[in-house]
Amino acid sequence: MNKLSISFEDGKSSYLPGEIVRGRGEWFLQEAPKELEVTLFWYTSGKGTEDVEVVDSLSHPNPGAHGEMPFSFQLPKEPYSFSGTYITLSWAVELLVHDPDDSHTEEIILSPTLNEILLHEVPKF
Amino acid sequence: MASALFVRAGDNPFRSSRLESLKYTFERGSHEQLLKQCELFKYRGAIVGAHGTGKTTLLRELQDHLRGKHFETELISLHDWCRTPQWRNLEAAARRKAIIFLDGAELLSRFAWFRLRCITRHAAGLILTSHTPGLLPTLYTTTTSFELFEQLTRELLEGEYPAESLRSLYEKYQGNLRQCFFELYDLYPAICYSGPRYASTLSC
Repeated sequence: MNKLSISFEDGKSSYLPGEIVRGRGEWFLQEAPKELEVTLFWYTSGKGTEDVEVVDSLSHPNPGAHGEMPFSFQLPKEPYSFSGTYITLSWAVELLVHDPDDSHTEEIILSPTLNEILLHEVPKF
Repeated sequence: MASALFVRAGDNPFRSSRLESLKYTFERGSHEQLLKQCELFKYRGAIVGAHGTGKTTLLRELQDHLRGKHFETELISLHDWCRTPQWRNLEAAARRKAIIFLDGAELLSRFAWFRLRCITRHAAGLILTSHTPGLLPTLYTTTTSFELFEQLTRELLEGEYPAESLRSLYEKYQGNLRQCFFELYDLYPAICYSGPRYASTLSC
């Protein structure tokens, strides 16, 4: 059975804007994939059309059936992780295996408060 | 009061990504029969049905099936805000002998439909969705039923929802499941906070 995992340095999962996300992806696969990729991206989910943007990625050609790959991504200043009734914006790091395809995703938070911003709690001016 | 009924959009079981992950449920027939029908009609035909009955879902699944059989395919989606295809892309796909999947053919003007038919004459096929029959031979007619709506709601909620409320929603939107699920999205926070009657079966 394939096993993919992502771990973050110091077990962090919340980051300040502009901070660096460091960690490592590990894989234990039944057969060696052609390529492996670690991607930093954000995506939206909710009632309407959903959006996704890949911010950075690192690839590892011919990675072998098992191994590990450290990664380091500089987070941008925005968008922050937030949630409202109609839209949630989430950040994530994904370990993607190509041919045979597989993936594993870990969510992170990008926020000046280190917590997801809940829109209904934001004071109205 | 409003904040007490807050549910994160990303946790709402009726969010778009969950609706899009629903598989088409055949009320009659099967993917295999539809594929045979496509073959019989030389990959030229229409999936016909009213709004919210699963035409797009079925078209995309059919495209996946044919891609799995090593056909080259090209999906073109038309919308109210974009009623004509990118002609260059369409011509290129036809030259590559791809099967063209056109979602929303009823939005084409008569001129655009003639132009599209001319261009796709040399393609390996043209399979489209439309609200009304007549553009191409009908391959399949999508329909919904209250039982299907109930089943899909249960699947999305991972719990039960009162049948009488679902029945009135189904009737209100005349079988348009997309509209029914949009309304359930808005109702979900209230469902979550409706107390022990349903909360025990729901993941919120």
